[in-house]
This record gives sequence, C-alpha cells and structure tokens, in this order.
Amino acid sequence: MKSKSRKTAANTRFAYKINVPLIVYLCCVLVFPVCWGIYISFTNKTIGGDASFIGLRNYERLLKDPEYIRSIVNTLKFTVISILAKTLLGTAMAMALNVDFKGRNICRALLMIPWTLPNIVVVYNWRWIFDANSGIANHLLKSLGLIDKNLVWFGSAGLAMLTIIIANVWRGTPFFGISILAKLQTISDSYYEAAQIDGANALQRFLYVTLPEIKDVIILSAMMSTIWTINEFETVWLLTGGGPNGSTEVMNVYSYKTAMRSMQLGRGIAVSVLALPVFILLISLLTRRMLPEEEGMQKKRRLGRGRK
Amino acid sequence: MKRKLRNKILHRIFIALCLIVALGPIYWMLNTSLKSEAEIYYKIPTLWPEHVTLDSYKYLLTGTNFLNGIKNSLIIAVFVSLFSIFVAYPAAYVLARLQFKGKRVFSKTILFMYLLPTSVLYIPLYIFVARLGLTNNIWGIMLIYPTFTLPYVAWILIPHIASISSTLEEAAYIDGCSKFQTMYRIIFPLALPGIISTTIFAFAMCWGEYLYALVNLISSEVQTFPLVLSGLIFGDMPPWNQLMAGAIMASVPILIIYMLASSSLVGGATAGGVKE
Repeated sequence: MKSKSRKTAANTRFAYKINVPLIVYLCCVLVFPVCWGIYISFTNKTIGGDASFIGLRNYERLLKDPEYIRSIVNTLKFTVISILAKTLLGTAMAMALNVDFKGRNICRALLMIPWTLPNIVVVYNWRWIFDANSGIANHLLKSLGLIDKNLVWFGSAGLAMLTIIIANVWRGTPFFGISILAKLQTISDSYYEAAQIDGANALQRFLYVTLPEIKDVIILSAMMSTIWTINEFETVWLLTGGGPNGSTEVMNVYSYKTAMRSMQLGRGIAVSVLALPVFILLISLLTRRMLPEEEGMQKKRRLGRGRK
Repeated sequence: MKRKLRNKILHRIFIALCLIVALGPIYWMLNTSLKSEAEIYYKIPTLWPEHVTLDSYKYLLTGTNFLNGIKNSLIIAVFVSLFSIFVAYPAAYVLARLQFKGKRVFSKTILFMYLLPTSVLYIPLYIFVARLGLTNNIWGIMLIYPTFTLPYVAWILIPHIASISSTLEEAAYIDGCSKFQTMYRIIFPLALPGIISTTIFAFAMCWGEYLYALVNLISSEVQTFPLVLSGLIFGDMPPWNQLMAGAIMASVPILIIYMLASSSLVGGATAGGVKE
C-alpha cells in the first residue's frame, strides 16, 4: 500500500513536470486573456482607447438593446431548427449506411465530404447557389415548376434564415451520421432477430431496439453540435451579413459588429460573457457524459465510503 | 419476397438522394470554376460548361493575392499542428497511462478548453495579441491557434494511446527505461498512426479558420486564403468563377489528406469529432 502511494506521488510529479509547456501555454494564452476579457467587459474599452471601470453598464445597455434581444432570438431559432434537422437527417443517413450493400464504403466516404470541406468554401458555394439572378437554386425550382419568378433568397427574412440553416445542416449532418453509424455497427444482430420473432414491425424494431442503443450518441452529438451552432459566425456573416434588416443577425454577428465595427470592445465581450453560463452548462453536461468511466469509479468509491 | 425487393429499391433511392444532395453543390462549384465570366451570368445556367476554360484558375494564381494567401495558410497550419502535437502529446500520454493526483480535474480542464467556443475567446485574444504588438502579423495568429488545437489534440490522442497494450511498456520498465524514455521511444512510435491522423485534423482546423484571421490579419501580405477569397467579393456581380476556383484549390489538399486518414476518422468521430 505504501509503495503504491509512493508510486502515485512519483507519477504525479512526472505528469505535471512533463506538461509544464502545455500548462504554461494555456494559462498565458487562454486562461489569462479570458479573465482579462471578463474584467474588460466591466469597462468602456474601445479599440485604441483607454478603459475605465463602469460596472455593469455594458450589461444593462445590452439587455435594454432590442437588437441584442433579437440576436438571441435569432440564434435560438437558427440553432434549434438546425440541430433538429441534423439529428433527423444524420440518423436516417446512419441507418441507410448500416445496411450491407455493394459500394457501401465508397458511399460512406463520399457522404463525409461536406463535413471535411473548409467552412468558408461551403458558405461561398451556397451564396452562389442562392444567387437571385443566376443561381442554380432558382433555376431548378423554376424548371420543376415550383416557382415562376426568381426568389430573392437573401432579400426576405424567412428565406435568408432558410439559407443559413441549409448551409449549416448540409455541412453538419455527416458528423451526426458517422457518429451514429459507429454506434449502430456495435448492435448485435441477435437483438433484431429476437424482436422479429416476437413479431415486432420495422417501426417497433427501431423504437425498441435501435433507438435505446443510439440515444446516448445522438444526445452527445447534438450537444456538441449545439455548442458549435451557437458559436456560428462565418456562415451567417458571409452568407447574409445578418440581413435583411437584422433578421438573421445571430449573437456572434452582433458581438462582431459591436466589437469590431462600432469598436466597443467592452460591450462586445459582455455579449460573450452573457452566453458563457449557457456554454458552461452544456460543456459540463457533456464532460459528465464523455468521462463516464471515472464517474462510475468515483460513485463506487463514494458508496464504499458511505458504508464505512 | 416482394416486400424485401421494394425495401431494397427504396433504400437505393434514398442513398442516391443523399449522394445527390451531398455532392451536387460540390459539382456546381467545380462546374462554375471552369466557366468564363460571361457564361456564369447566362440567363439559364448551363449544367455543363459550354467552353471549358481554366482562365479563372489562371487569373486567381497570377492576378490576385491568392497564392500568397495559400502560402500563409500553409505555414500557419503546418507550424501550429506540429507544435500542438509535441506540446499536447505528454498530456494525452499521462491521461491515458498514469494514475496521478488531480487527473480527473486535469482531463476535465482539457475537455472544457476543447469545447470552449471561439466566440468567447476572439475579443480577449484580439486585445491580448494587440498588447503584444502582434496584430497584423502571422506570429499573432500562430500564437492564437494552439488555444483550440492543443486541447483538441490532447483529448483526441487519449484513446489512441490507451488502446496500445501495456505489456511492452512494462517490459521497457523492467529493462530500466525511465518514464520519459518509455513515453517517447516505446509509445510514441506505436501511437504514430493516431498521431498522424490527429495532426491532419489539427491542420484542417487551422487551414480554413476565418474569425481569428479576420479580426487579426489586415494587410494583404499576411492574409490567409479565406480572407483573400472574401476579398474577391465586391459589387453586385462577384467573379463567382474565380471564387469557386479558389474554393476548389483550397479544398483539394484537405480532401486528399482526409481520404488518407479516413480509416481512423470513422472510429474516432464520436470520441471527439472535429471542431466546426
């Protein structure tokens, strides 16, 4: 027992010593700037200007600013619809790829491509596809007889929101698909056979065999994707610029405009700080799910202590 | 039997639909890049270019700053991904292999930093870099990018290292190897496939990064390719053929290395995925 604790002590020393570069780097370039940033959100710092402490004034002004409130509503709308679409489409994609067929591997690789492309490339491509005069989207819809006049995609609130959702969903779905597929492939065939013998139809097999198995990975993917989607900036900024009339202005576009265009750095950071509790909540839910093994060990240890 | 056949047909149709939706836009990108400036603004878009021309590629490479942007992106992405592997590997190693005090807090902190979105960080880091006098400097960006690649690499490498059998390690201890030697001379080579694919993903994260670059890089000689591409857009009729040519050229290297690394991508996706 004694030698074991001595070994742990040696391990501890080694673990931290070997990671000094990492710890120092992240403290200097990540932790310190964030703490400093939180302080600056309580000042009236502008680009090139000095900062003086103004307490909660930035936060008060934000919460009274209808443009800020609208940006939060837009972010929620954008995130909820995108995540729902990505979850449904990703599950369908995974189920389809879980069937054995010729060319499955090549299909899987091809369907992954949208996820691997640099986002900026994807965004510009959609902007061109939805071009009002020469875009292929209008042409296709016209030749299918669904519309008879060119739609101005970036000119109306609903359509502009639809374009940013499409751009986000197109690129994000393969992440769900591939994550869910990895889990699907671990489900034993005997479960399905047993269900079939019991007379379960396809829907019942999905609801009672597949879904319980893939529920966790769906939730995990959805939570990670939620963080990324709330964090979305360039899709919106380069596609619609937040327009028309702010109808697609999401939180990050608002914070970018405030900090970099109006040069109100303090208020810009306040936007991020107000979102921080949401991120922290999501991240801690995620960490709990992603570190399940040790959690279990701790619980056991806690139980053991209780019994004594 | 009939039902089975019907299901089979429906399944193939669904797969085909997925492929069309996933690849159609990419085909359109390629198609546009091969057209002349006049042809892209035809009233009825041509599904195959009337006159296939490489003019847009030629113009992009010779008449614009694009090549310089690619060079800058390449320097930054290579430097940051290699730096991240060497600094983050020890963290992944100790988290995968050793029992030590504060391990749980350590791994939680890494995961937390990995998931922390850029929106929280970009303004504080802008101020930080400005204070160091590194705004509008490639070094400023190379200082910032490890804030997301380091935690990512450390986190993603853990399962790769944990999957290596510990018997070799024990043998090395018995032969008198120190922990340091074991870490670099025994485990590092064995984990190399995982290390290479992780390096590729870290590279890809830096390659297309936009927000930090937009905020910190201003003058044309330091701009990365995403900024050069967005600089092409002005007026009502942007040169879409050139933009799409740039998009193709920026995507091809990434696609190639992804395909090479795709075997580890499939298994590793749920272990952490790639940051958007």
